[in-house]
Amino acid sequence: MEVPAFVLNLDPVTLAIPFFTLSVFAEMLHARMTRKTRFETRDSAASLMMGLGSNVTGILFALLIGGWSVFVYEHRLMDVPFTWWVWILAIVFDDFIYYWVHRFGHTIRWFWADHIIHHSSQHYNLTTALRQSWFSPFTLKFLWLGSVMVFIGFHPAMVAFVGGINLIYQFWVHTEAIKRCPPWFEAVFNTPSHHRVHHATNPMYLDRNYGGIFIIWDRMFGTFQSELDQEACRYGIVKNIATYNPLKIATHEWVSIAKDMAGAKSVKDAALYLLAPPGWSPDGSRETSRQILEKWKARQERAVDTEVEAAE
Amino acid sequence: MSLRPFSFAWGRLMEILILLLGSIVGVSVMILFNAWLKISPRARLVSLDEAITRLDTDCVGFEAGEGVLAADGEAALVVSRTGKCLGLLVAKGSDFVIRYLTPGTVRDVVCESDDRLRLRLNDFVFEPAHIRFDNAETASRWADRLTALQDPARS
Repeated sequence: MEVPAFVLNLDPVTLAIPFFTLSVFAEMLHARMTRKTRFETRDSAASLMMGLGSNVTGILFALLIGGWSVFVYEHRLMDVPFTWWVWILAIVFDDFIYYWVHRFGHTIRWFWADHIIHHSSQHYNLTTALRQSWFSPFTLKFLWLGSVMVFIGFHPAMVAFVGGINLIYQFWVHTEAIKRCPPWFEAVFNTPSHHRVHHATNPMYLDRNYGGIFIIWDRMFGTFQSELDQEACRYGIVKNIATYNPLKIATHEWVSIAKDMAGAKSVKDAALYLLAPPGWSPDGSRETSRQILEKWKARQERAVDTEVEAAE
Repeated sequence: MSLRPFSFAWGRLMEILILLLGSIVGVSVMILFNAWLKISPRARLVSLDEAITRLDTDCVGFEAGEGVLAADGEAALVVSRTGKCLGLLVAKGSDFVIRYLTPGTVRDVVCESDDRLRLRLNDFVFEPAHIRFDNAETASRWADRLTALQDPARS
């Protein structure tokens, strides 16, 4: 199959770098002028270092992942052409897969150890978008989830291209500078408001809004939560980190998993430390997102009951 | 033998190197610009009540007992009413990091001066916290409480 030249010669992410850079400068100026966006120099530096490191390891692992994609493509189910409607289909399908990869990234600790890096800042600005993992290929998620489209028959170059478009789209949603978009847009697409919820640790916001470009997946699969004016987002992770050291940021959850597994009393416990949702522990001494939410809901209900009793 | 594949690989390698060097320069400029704009306020607690509210918001069901606010407002320690843990808030940039200290979580406590402690936790991502109290007596009392949470094998 003939691959269009632009797919082979253009890397949308590389082309977007000047846009990323200028946007960060613009957001910093916005923060200076309005004080509505929060920045912390060392936090920004850590996020940018994570982004830089992610690029370096991405280059180092490119041969491995590229080789795997070519191998899968040789065993594809069908030939998918490069027509315009296939491009649209590819963008939508890629985002659908992204939704599930992202959801597993929050609900299986093995994948969370990789994704936690992106959530480990207590700030929410465009530098947070660049705070990425260094060791993603180690999770081996590319072996199946990233290869679904290639196995069906989408050309690896097309899959890489639409993956780049998805990544570029997600950059601009990491900001507090944009409050709300038009309702029709908020209904269909991921927006800064929806993604702020995703990065928040408020119990009602935990593990919500996984969509990359489209928010419709969350609406379809019951993980959508709109941002409420009365519930301001608190960003970060349930147990925030107190370091700006990029190496510690990159590895801390892996270290934590290793410690937990080393101290596990059975093989089953060790396996669950790796594969159960983050916060799981055999004795229940820690809390998963679901448990935190249930506890919070119970307290809200008690508060309402108390108010009603007082009124009576 | 053609040298074209070698030239192509060399060209690609140079492209990557230029991209990486450009990224390093770009990142450095962004960090300097961020620092120059002075848009990074230091987090400070105005009262112990604020610390308690933050702990209650962070951990559903945390019932506060006795507590102390650092002299500069950059940290607070609050014992839970049940006495099971000690809530710690420490300023990290423009926000706070919270830990619930239970026996074995404290690595060591060092008195840096009469009214100032250095607290280290058995926590990979918690850098040593320096807490200054209003007076030496308060510092000593909380140092004892924190020391009691050291791992017995280590202390």
